[in-house]
Amino acid sequence: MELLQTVAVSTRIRLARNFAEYPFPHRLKDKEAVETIIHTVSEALNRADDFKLYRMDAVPMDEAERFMENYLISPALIERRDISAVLINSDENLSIMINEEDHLREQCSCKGYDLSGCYEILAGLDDRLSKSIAFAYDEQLGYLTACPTNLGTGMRASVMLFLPGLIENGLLPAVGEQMERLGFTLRGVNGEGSASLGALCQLSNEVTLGMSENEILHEVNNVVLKIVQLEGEERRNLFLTDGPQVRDRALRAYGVLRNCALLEYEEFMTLLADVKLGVTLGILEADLSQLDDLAVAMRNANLKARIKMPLTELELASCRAKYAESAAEKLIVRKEA
Amino acid sequence: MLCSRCGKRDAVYDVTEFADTRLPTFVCDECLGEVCQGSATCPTCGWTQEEYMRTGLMGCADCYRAFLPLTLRETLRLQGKLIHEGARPRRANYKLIARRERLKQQVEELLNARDYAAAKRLSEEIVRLNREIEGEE
Repeated sequence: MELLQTVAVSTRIRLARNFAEYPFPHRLKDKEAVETIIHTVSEALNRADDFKLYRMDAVPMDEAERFMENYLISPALIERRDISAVLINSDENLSIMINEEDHLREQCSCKGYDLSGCYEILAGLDDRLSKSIAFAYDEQLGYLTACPTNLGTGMRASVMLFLPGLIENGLLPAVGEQMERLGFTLRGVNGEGSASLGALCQLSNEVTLGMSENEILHEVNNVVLKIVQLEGEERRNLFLTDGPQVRDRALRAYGVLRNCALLEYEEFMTLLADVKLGVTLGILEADLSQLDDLAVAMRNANLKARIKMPLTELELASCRAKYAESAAEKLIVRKEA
Repeated sequence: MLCSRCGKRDAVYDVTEFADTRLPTFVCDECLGEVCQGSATCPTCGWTQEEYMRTGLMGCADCYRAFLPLTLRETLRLQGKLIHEGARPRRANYKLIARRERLKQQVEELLNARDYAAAKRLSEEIVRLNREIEGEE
């Protein structure tokens, strides 16, 4: 198993774009302008693109949450539901948020690590949109966005990274500071404050102006490879100093996943991280990408969508435990010592 | 190099590459701060420089030019650079597209009014426009 594949969980790139003739969404009061923007964006897509339009004021909360859990929309889009909408393709790897902070937030994501693949798809989509939308653009400042932090390319490339070695050895803050100095952000995902759930962190570029899209992707790639190398070293150190403990945790996590009656999402993610670390160190055997799929499938709104019934908190925890048991049995194999 | 405004402090910003700057070419932090003082209102949307400072958001695309030189200071502070090096939008013929959208609406209205002959004529015009727009690509 290549180290990079055990660290990079998913890749996501987004482009911020605006209509030249309308005020930015936070100042958009005119109902007619809102309608025109939503209409123009959806009309600009090819039929072959296979997108479905959702107006956020008409999307039930459970479904909106599922979109959010699957990283198709942001919390800010829900907050602006009176003017916002989203276009999502049938594979759910492409979405266009309408009237979030900017008029358009085009986004492409994929499993694993593929910056150039994601960008190629997204650039194609952006090109089709720009045939019929006059984007706000300045010859010197580039694409104009509501916040100057997105100016220029409007591009943010993010890679989700599994970093149990760095986190366990207390090195994440130092690496984070180093990234900040280089113009990148590394932060925990889904955790309280800077903590990360399931040892997952997100790396993204801060600077969007003064570099071409390919230069930005090139730099993100360099930094990802550096972090992957550091993570590999820390995993080895962890195994050398705390081998028996790591092994014990991985096996216990596997045991709990197969034997519990109630399971909260936070606990599930902690167990999953222990199991995944066990897999990368050869204690357990499993396809990591299938385990990463579980991290999304086990979230509240995704579980509810599966069951298709309103569930109480307790019932959700019970469903999650059952689902975890069958998934662990199917996907994870214990290796002999 | 000394600041071309005060001639005393070291210049930290080089804004020579940005046309229409209303700024000294090489400027120090203090002078850049001073020239950004005052108020400006965007002629297009009415958003003010103070409102930008309070929210961190521009009101519309025209605010960027209306709030010069503050725009430059903010861009340097947040991005460290001033000039875009990335992709440019494709130059489509927006006038033709706007006309096509108007015609589409008219066709719908004509269909509602059951004036099929007129609707057909406009639909043919839309097909012609589509060809023209696609031809640009």
